Amino acid sequence: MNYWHVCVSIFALLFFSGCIALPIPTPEHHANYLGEGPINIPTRGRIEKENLAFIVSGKTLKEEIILHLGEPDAVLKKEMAFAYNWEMTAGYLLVAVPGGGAIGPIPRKHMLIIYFDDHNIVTSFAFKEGVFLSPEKEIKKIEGAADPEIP
Amino acid sequence: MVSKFFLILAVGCVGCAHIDLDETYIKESFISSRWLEFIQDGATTREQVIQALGRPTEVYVNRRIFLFRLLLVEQDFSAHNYKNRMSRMSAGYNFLDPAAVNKRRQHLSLQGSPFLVSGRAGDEKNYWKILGREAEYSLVLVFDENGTLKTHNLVRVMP
Repeated sequence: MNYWHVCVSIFALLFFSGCIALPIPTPEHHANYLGEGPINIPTRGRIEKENLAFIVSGKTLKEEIILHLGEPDAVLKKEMAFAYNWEMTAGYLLVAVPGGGAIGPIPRKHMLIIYFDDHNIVTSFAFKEGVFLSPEKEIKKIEGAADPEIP
Repeated sequence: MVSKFFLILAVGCVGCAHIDLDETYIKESFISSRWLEFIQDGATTREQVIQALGRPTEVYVNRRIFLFRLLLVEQDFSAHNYKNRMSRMSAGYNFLDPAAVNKRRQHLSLQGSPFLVSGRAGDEKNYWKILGREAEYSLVLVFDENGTLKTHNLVRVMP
């Protein structure tokens, strides 16, 4: 190896030693942060869309919602809307740098928002989900809206 | 030749032992019969419930619906214990060990207790117990206009 080769090698090591970020998608599963137990997260478990067949707008009562789904994560507009939030892992992000690396979960947030009328009957419900979804912002949006029945 | 055959067989048969998580001790039916048998539709009154369980976590529809947030936890563990345990776990990238989880569930069925979370999970004491729980439930009680239990359900919300 001559002097020129050594210079090129040092230059390459100094200026082309970037990091690699590789997202690894997985089927959605509970976010356990690679921990010992399956549940060491503060949010509730997943609500399956198939399990909501009992909800009929204009018919289902608030008590039926609580009996089936349990405690809502947010009670909004003086009980005119309930929000259920949960978080799943949608994959892992592998970051590699020269000499090391790390892996962390990619969380996907989910929300179920249910609206009621004055007689405690469901008027509508909606699902929201996304990696960048902010349940806090969504809740603020509902709280700030004049009419709680946002589609 | 024979020894080579057994060597190949031994190497080829090295598999992974698989243990399923045992749901028996965290099922709603088990928790109800173990700790909540006193709750009877058409008989239990609102006052009896408060006397036995304390103040509900949430009330809805003008006190007609009581909700108790219950965590399945070790009876003698403090929030500090859970904080330490969680810190150890996040420091070491331990993967799920089903055998250890099953052992804990069995232990909790004998010596655990449902811990009632009063108020939202804001304070640190609740937070660490919530993180350290083995399972979480919503006990929902719907009373009639006379304050007698109309119907109830125990919903497992985690895991």
